[in-house]
Amino acid sequence: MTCPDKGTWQAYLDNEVSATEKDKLREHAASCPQCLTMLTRMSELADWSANRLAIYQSAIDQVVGSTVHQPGQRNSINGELKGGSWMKRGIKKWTAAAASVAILAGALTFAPVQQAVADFLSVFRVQQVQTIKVNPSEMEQMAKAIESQVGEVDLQQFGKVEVTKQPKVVKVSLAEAQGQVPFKLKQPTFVPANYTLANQVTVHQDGDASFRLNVDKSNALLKSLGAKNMLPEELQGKAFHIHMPAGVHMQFMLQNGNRGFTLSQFSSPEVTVPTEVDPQTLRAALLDLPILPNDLRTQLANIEDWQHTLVIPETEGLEKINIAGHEAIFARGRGSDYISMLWVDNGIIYQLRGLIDRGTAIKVAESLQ
Amino acid sequence: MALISLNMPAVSLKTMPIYGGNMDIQFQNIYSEMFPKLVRQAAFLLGDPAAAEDLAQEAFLRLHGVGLDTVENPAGWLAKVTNNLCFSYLRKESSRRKREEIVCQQDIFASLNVPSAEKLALHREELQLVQKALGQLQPRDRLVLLMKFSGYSYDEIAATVEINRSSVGTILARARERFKREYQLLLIKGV
Repeated sequence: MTCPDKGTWQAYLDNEVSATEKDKLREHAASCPQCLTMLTRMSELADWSANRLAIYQSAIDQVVGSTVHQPGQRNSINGELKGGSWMKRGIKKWTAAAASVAILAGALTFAPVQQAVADFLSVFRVQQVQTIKVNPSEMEQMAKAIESQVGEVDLQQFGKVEVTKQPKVVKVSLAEAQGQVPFKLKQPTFVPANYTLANQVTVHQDGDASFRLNVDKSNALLKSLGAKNMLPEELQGKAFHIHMPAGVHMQFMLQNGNRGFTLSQFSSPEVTVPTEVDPQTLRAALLDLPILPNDLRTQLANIEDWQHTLVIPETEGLEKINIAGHEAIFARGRGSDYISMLWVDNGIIYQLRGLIDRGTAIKVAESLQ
Repeated sequence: MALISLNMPAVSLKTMPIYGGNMDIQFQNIYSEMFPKLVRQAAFLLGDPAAAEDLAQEAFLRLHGVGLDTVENPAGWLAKVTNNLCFSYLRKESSRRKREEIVCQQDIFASLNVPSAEKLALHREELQLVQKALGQLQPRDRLVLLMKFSGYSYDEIAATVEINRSSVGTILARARERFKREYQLLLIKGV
């Protein structure tokens, strides 16, 4: 018998070979010092790795145990699915769906508000939403292009991030919530029968982060991706400030204690960039990226008021509707009655979602005051 | 530049039909029983508790989509789907995940402040090394290594990472070697 390969010995150690094969292998090991040495080394390695992973696993269990709510809490009248994660979840989902687009085109979605008194910084802010058509294979293409052409992208190479204020989540009364957000909370004047507003609302307090760009390295990345327009030198070391929005979720419960629908109101996230930066140059550099599929590039370039527009990749089941004069995006869950609506009014982002029929949801949304 | 994506507003159009009012009792029971387990499982595979919750939710969403009555063994089905989701998540987003780990998850265990974590605090440095070493592995190697540790059979591992059953042993052995090598490299570098 020629010496079996490592994989076979591994399967032998893991008891993943047939009984006859096992006997043969055992016999071979007994007469082959080389293989026996290998077996010993492999089982030592298995132990070593198991010891490390055991520590890791128990740590993970504790982290998860301390953050995942028990099902009982989840279903209680005030129970919200893991309150603290809603926002994170939103962002994650978002980036998951739009990772490439967000990275490359995210800068397109915020606008300078020109009335800045001390004209020190340009402010980007969302005033409207627009969908663009992106098909999943294009997304994948872009992701692949990034991976294959630049290898690992390490944010630290491109700049320095500092979180100056961690967003926090609290549950308070509606009156208290009003005191914690910088805009007037709206309430529906129409609430369908059977639904009542939960006596506490969830407030996401705001957060701040800043990002200092390393222009040379970022340009090197752009160049390696085939771009011709580069980021302006003036950006070097200048801080972009990112303000994560404060907001409130109001839950409307069904009489049996289950959640009916949730109304969320968030002020617009903001990015402020140093004045020296011409947003048009930034935009040109990003739009120029050859890895953007042409369709997508054209669509992005065609967004007229790009400085105030939040770009949403269009997915199946998405529909544009009108809520009291504002364009809204309506989505229905795959094969379910769960709906979600999103619109922007006066710089505030509203979202209504839950198990509620479309007509009623629109009526609730239009009754906001 | 990538940080700009942080600005994406905190709203999700992704719909979640599973904790609404008309969820039937049977589904709800499975959800209560299995959700925490799936999150733990996914968090172990991914090293990212927040993403783990998303993927566990996604697994339930899919169960809801295909219909509970069409699945013979919902617990097993959910575990399998979660593993698959973890694998494709790691593959599709490995570059993004690495960035995030550096920015916001330098030490996911730093948030531990429960008394029972005292013992773990002693292991903190080791934990960081393990976490980082795992982060250096290819998604396939990582999953093979961790699934084996979790007690999955070669058949189950092969199905999740889409390889032949006969390759599992080879990949597992190599994955362990790489894991140890990365760990020791990090140890020397004093990370």
